Amino acid sequence: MNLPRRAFLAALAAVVGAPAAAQQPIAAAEARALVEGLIRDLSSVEQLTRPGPERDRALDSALGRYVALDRVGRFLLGASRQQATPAELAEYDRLVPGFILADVRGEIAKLVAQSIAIEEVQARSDREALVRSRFRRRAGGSVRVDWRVQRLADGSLRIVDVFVNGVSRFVIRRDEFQAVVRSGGMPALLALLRKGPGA
Amino acid sequence: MHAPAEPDRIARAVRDVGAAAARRPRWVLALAVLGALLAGLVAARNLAVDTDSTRMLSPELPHRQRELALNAAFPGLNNRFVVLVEAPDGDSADLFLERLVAAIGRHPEALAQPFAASLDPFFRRNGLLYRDDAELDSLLARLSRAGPLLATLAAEPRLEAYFAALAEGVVDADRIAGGEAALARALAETDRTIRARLAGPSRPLPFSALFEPEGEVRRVLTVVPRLDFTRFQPAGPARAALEAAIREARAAPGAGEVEVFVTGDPAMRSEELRSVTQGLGLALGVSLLAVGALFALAFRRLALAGVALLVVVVALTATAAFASLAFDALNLVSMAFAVLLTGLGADYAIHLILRLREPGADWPQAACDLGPALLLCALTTSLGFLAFVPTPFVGMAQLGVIGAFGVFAAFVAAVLIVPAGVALVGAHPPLPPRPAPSARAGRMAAWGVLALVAAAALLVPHARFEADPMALRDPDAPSVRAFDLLFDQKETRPYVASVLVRDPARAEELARRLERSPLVERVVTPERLLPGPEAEFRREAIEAVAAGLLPQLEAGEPPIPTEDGLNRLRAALAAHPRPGGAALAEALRQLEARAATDPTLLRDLERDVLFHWPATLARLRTSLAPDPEPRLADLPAPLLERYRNARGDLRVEVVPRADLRDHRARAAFVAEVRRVAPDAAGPVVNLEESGAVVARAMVTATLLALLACGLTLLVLTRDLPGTLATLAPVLAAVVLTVGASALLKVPFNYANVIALPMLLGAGIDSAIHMAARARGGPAAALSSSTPRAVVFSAFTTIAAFGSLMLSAHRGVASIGALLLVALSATTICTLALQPAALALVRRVRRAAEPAR
Repeated sequence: MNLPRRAFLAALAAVVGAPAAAQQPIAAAEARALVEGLIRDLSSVEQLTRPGPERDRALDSALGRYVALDRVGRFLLGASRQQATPAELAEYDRLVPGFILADVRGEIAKLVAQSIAIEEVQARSDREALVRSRFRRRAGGSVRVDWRVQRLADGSLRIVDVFVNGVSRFVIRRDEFQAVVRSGGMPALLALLRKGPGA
Repeated sequence: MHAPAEPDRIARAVRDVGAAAARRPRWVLALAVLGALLAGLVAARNLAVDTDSTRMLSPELPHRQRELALNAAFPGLNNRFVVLVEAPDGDSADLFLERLVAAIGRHPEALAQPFAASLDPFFRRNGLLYRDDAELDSLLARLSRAGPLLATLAAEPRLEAYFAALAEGVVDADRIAGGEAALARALAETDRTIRARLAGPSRPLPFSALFEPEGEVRRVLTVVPRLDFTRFQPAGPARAALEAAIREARAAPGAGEVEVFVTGDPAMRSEELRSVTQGLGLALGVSLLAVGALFALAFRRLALAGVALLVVVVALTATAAFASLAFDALNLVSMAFAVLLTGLGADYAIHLILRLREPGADWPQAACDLGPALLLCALTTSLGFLAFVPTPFVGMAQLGVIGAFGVFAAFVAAVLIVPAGVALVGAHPPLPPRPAPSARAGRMAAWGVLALVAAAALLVPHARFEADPMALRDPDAPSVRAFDLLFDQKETRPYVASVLVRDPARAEELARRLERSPLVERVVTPERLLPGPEAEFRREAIEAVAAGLLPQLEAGEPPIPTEDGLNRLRAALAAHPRPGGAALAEALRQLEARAATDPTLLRDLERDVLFHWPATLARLRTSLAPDPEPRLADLPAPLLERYRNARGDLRVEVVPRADLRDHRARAAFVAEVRRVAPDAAGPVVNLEESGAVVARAMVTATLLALLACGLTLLVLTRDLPGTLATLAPVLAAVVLTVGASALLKVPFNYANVIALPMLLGAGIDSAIHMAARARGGPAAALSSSTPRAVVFSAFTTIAAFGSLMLSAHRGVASIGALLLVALSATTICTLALQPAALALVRRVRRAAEPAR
């Protein structure tokens, strides 16, 4: 079968290009820009919408663009993934993005509405950086928030964890998920995901 | 029993030898004493003991061949001290281990290759990758939550900073101090450290207690002893060096409440040798005293008791000298020969002396009456001893050869020393004959014993063989108690199976097949020592925590204001009630009050609080940065060498799920492993298959002893009914003994399997004597000195064998217990059943005569 030259080159670029992008080291500016973009988008949602379902949807949409929801979802399930049936996994993958968004939405949105300063970007490896920022509380004092940014397999840059004063929200959640699976199995975890993070 | 033709010559020989000795009694007795001294000297110079119970079976057995191949490929596998360190927290345990390893390093002449995974750099970097997933997630969550507290101390390792961080933790445990549970432990541990300092002694604050699960921490260290085979205790110097190293490590400051247990094959063997030799020494002393007392009671003259004791001592020393010259080393079972001979050797002297005390008795008559029977007894007892020689149980065969020699030595000593001694001290006054028991009493006794035998027969199927050599050792020996502790945790369980392979692919294929079994907990191959694909879940969690925590630890600036920490902590505790908070607040109040008058108190407390901090921080940093791709070459050599040798042989280790001290679980596990890997070896396979070999050897030896004794009796007496009547009570005693073994829960084992063949060989002696004296009818036998001799022989034998029960070594004690039961059963059955059996034979003969 003869492929047109342009189509062949396009296919080649698709095959070769994606891994090449995935291997590209993260530049500090790139990581900083990603976090700044998230803060900017969340701030504008906070300013332009009133609290309620519409704002939540807008925040989720913004967070979804910056946070690697699939990867975080896999991380939260950890080794319990090996115990789940394919049907339970499919259900988990369907439910967990909403749960993550609801989990981080309130806290992150609350923080970014306040004064923020990105202090430095630390390269942790070729494919990972830590963007360190500090939020000044209106009531006084500050909160350190660090953003773990990774280049994913498709070459895109995403936030994979958020540390508030060094405490990883997703590590804590992962421990909670494991405890739920240990005591009630995957059905109990799926029930928790349906109820949401406030349950 | 008909008078045999052959014994006449024997009787003449016994009579003539004894008569010659009686003509020169002083010379004979002096030579006997001198001979005993010389033999004792030879024995003391040459006797050695080999405590390796695996060498008690023939090396030709297939499972022994596999075991020998495994030991050749991995020679250090079992030859290690295993040191268990139990501490209230990981900090104390690791600090003690570090000091112990350093102290062991100062004894290179006795100890080598100390290895503890928790100290090894590889496992310090990668240890978290090996943790249970759920346990690791909890640990990491606690670590993540404790980031601000840790970062504060990393930046300012001061007491005030610690108190300030703790104060913040009291306000918000989830974000500062590792969560509610970790905070509660931090408050409690801080309280204990402050109160200890107020009371005087230092008690370092254990930081690991904040993150690790509550409960004692156990660490394992292995160390290879340099054995000195020129010594009676080859591991003795190494054990002494290890104990010295433990004392040195304990003496260092901040050692804490650490408990140390030493086990492993070299430790258990040296303690076993000590317990066996001490037990046998005690048993020998007690048995000689008891036998001497019984002699005095039986003969009612101390001088005659002395003559009989001399017979025993001469037989003992001669046999010890023979054993030391005939064998390179005795084993743990054959060492019991001395006590066994004390009991058995006494019989010949008792029968001869009591016969000489019958009214009107003289040596020629006594020799003619008893000589053939005594020789026959020596022969049958030897056959009982020798019954294990054709079996692969070479360890017991050694006892058999020594015992057989000893029995003949006792016979010869009795024939020489008794007439000489009696000639010197006299046998008078004669003991009055005892009336024979009434026929009715005899019948009642016979029926009573038959009923007992019938009841015992019902228990016979419940008798069992205990294959585990651990069941023989002194349960109170420190190394045995420590060995039991190894079973508490699946990671340290010592009963594993091993399969030798050459190819890594074959090792993995075997491992996959073996781990499908529900009886298998896990399978370890060299490749599997590395974190597997499932560790990726752990690695991503470690990286997540490290990403948040490590930058905080490196920041150099405390995230929490650190000034005025003590007051802030007191204020926080007052404002936020927490578990343990009130106690800590009170301790802080006392601290403040004392600090006002003691200027060094806070400095000393700071030292206590921060004692473990530098090591904790270093470990934290290291463990949060695991190797990206650990390789086999990165593994610590002492560990890798247990699974891959220099030749490239690979060892696949199969770890059981159940506790294999249970014999049913053990049998099932070994059968399952061998179904998949017929070539499997290792301690548990060896133990199970050796047990089967010994159990078969016991049955074989018992049947051989029965056949040999029966044929000997038949050949020498040429009287089939008489032979059957003689064997009947002994067979009844076998049934009683096996039934009693089941009832008393004294299972057969490596040590006491000699009981049944010996019961046949030695137990038949009483029946032979009774039969020999029953030529004039059962009543004549019962009124002669023979029943008294039979009873006192039984008493001396029982006293000697029973003294073995004083041994703390369960194997030696079980020889005593089972032989005591066996010989008691034999005596009862002989006295109760044999007269009835002989009477039955007579009635059958009389009934048959007219028909002829």
